[in-house]
Amino acid sequence: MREVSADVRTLKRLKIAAFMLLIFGAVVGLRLFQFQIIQHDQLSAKSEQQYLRTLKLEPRRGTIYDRNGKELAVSVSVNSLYANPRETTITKTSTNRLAFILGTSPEELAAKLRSPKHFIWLWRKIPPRKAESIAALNIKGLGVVKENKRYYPKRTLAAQILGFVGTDNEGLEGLEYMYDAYVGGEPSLVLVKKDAKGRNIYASRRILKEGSKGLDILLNIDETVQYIAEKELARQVAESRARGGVAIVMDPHSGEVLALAHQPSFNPNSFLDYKPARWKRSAISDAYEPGSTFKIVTLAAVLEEGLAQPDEILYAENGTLVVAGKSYHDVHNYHWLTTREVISKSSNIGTIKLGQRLEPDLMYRYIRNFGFGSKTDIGLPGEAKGLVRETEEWSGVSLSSISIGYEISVTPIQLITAYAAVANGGHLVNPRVVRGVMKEGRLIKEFPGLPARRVISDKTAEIITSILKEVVTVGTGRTAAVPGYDVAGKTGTALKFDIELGAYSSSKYVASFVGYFPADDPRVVILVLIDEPKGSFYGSEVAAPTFSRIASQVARYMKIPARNNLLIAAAPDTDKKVEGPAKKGEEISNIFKRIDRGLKKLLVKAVSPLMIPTKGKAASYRTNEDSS
Amino acid sequence: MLITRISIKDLDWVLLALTLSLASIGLLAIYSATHGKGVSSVDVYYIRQIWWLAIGALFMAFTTLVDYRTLGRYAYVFYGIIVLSLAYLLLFGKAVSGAQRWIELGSINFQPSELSKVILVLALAKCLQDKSRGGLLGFRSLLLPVGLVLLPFALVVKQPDLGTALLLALMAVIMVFLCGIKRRTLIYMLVLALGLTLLLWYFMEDYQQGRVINFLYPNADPSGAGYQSLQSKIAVGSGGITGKGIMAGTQSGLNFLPEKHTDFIFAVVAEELGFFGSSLVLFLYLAIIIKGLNIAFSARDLLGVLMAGGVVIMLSLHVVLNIAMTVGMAPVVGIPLPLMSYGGSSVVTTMAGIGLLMNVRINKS
Repeated sequence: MREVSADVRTLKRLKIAAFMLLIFGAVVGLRLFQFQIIQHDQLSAKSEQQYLRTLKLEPRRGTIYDRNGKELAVSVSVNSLYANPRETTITKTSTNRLAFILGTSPEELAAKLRSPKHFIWLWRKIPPRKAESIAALNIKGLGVVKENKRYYPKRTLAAQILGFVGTDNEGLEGLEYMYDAYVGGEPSLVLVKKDAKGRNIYASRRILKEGSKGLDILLNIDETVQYIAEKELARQVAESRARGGVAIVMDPHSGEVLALAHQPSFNPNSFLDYKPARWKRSAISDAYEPGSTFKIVTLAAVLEEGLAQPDEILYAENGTLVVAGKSYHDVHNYHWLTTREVISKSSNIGTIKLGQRLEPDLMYRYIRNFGFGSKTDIGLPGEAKGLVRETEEWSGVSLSSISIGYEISVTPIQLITAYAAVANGGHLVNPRVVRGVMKEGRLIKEFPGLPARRVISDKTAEIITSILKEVVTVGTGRTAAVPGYDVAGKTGTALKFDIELGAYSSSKYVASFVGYFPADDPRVVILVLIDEPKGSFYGSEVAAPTFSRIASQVARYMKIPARNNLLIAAAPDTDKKVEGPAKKGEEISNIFKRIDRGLKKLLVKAVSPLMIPTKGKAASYRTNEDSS
Repeated sequence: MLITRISIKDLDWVLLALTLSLASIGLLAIYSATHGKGVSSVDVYYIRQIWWLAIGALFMAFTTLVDYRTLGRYAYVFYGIIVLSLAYLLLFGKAVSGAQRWIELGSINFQPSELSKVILVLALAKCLQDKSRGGLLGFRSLLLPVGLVLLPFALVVKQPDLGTALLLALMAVIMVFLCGIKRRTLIYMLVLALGLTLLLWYFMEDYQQGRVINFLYPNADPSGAGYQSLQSKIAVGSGGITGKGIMAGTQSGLNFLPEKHTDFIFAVVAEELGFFGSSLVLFLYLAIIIKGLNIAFSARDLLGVLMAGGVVIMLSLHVVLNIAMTVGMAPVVGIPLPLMSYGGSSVVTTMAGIGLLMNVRINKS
């Protein structure tokens, strides 16, 4: 029995209230349906965007080996230090100590650690010993991850060829850049979950794409030859207080580049400490007017075309020849010279007279045939073509100037390749720095290069070689001689064209020597170029002796058989012999040379106003060849 | 008679089973939501919740076994105790994240505002039963009930705990509505309520105003005030039909969703068990509410109707508001999901309420 009339209306109202709440509940239920079923995909995507993160795991780069399998560039596993500033608790003393190790100021470090971020790098790729001392500080919120660091164990050796990589291991320069697709490897893509604080939950990782280690690169470069070339080049550049220098050692038959040395060099392990100019490969990227070394092209053309005989006699105009109003001079005044002597004594007038026997188009064809004006495709980034003007643009003096190596610019690699063609009997080869790509010690891809192209006949090549031998035995290149071997080569001393002055500089020279040996069965062709030597500037004084030093060491290293089976290994060290007791005598002779040079400079200054500029450009050409 | 003599079959076993089922799902969700990183001890939350459920069972036994008419007689005593403890809290309580809500009893923290909900049901039922003897409630007979509500309401608002205060008010309004009010009184009350609302807005704290604005424009500030709402929506929606699996929730497990084990436990269920899981939970609540309504309908007197009805209203308001909050249809105010949200005071209050339901059923004749 009900004590108080539990009103029917009260129950009715309860029904109404319950019904209304139920309706509200149903709306909420519909909302659940909307979110969980209709908008599921969209909200799922939002969720994944929040908690999933794709990590790119850098692959390990491949190794770069020299031709004998010596490591030139390797990847090592190192620690990188990071901090989670939100979790970092650090005392003032620890901040000071850490700042000291990191090499920053404590204020700067403290500011970094106050950042609201969850992750900051403190130091990518720490040296191992520093990592240990940081670990000893035992600071909460710091951590290390393993990363791959590129390391160049031979430091400056072949730095310009190898190049370097950036912080994320991407190739930035040199071979590292050019062959990044091979040596770089494929990064792994890994999907990890992260929490709301942005921390990665590595335990949840799922590999999206399995990456691969980079392939190895096998070079034609020989570490030892490269070392010899760099060492001797550095010595000469220092002695001459030169701006720089290039030395190339190449196999004339295959085009394999055994050494490509540049001075000054840099250490790719800390490339940022150097000016970018140091990273440059001037052997392939800088074109210059070659001067006398270019005369063999003129010689090759007239011999090949039957327009001159090696032993015919030319009149050398007693040292001065005027062509279309422009005067050309020889260093020494000659009257009658044979074709051989024109080259071995490096007579400008004789060479011009030989060149004038050629039609400009024919000369142009020989120049292009020898590879000038086109890239050699050596397989390094930044190669220059040099400048060979079309014959339509030639002035009345162009043929004469070009025949002695002016009004044309070439790269050192083009020049040595032309000499290689003479050395190997007339084939223009494709110089190559990289032999191929290796995987697990096996060569899986080779870069054989372009097929060789015949540019002159065997016979012409033979004659030129015999003439170039005379350059070294009796001519301007005697300082290039290598005891025990017949050497063929040519000196060159060219005035540099000063772009700022718009005229040829009176004091800036490029001294060079290109040659090969043993002359009759050449194993190597070597180019030495010294840029802006101070003091002595002749190719014969600056470049040729360097050639000799490189050649004799390479001969010993490569066990090149000497003339008459002379055992080179038994010969005393040539370097020391040169520097030994003869020093005093040398100094005296240097004084005479300097007096001689001073007189020559006076002569140049006296003559230069008389020289007529061509095509508006104030250009006067002069080669200085020493025949002492 | 103080203690009802009952036999086993008098107990509402279905209601008990429903209660236990929801509590179990809640435990599972709490375990899952707190197993991940950033929780110092994995066991803490769900073990504590089990203890609270046990304490809740004691309260439930008390509210089941002591005849509800006896409870009614002592309703004002309970009411006095709870108002005093609310006042004590305001005067001496320690602020935790800007609010004084907890009384510390040794190592146990207790929220008197939670328990005040079920005690208000008791006191209002008693008061309204007394006042409505003459039929519809007039202005004068409403003075005491309104006073009964306003006292704890004001104390809770002052804590400040806007959500709980509004819930108390809403419960009271519906209970008064159950008794019926004279039309003129109703108009007066509405005008008064409007005036009070405006006044309240004026005195609201910034964060409280912010919550109301946030409720009206939930997407206005996804990184700040709306973040919780958005995260909850993403958690629910990404669960899909079948859910991501227990312990596999990403939004909750990776800490994107704050308050996941307390007020947003339903989002955890929805994310990990999907639409199936969340529907199941809704149906379990629906079953409890229907059970409660049936009990109210079969009550022997107005006190029983108001007590059972009050408990049903309390439970359904919690469920509906909490889930509405989870799916972004209500402001983020601290209203727990009964039986499932982590928190002892809420568990004890809910279980005491369910005890009352059983009490009314046992004593229906």
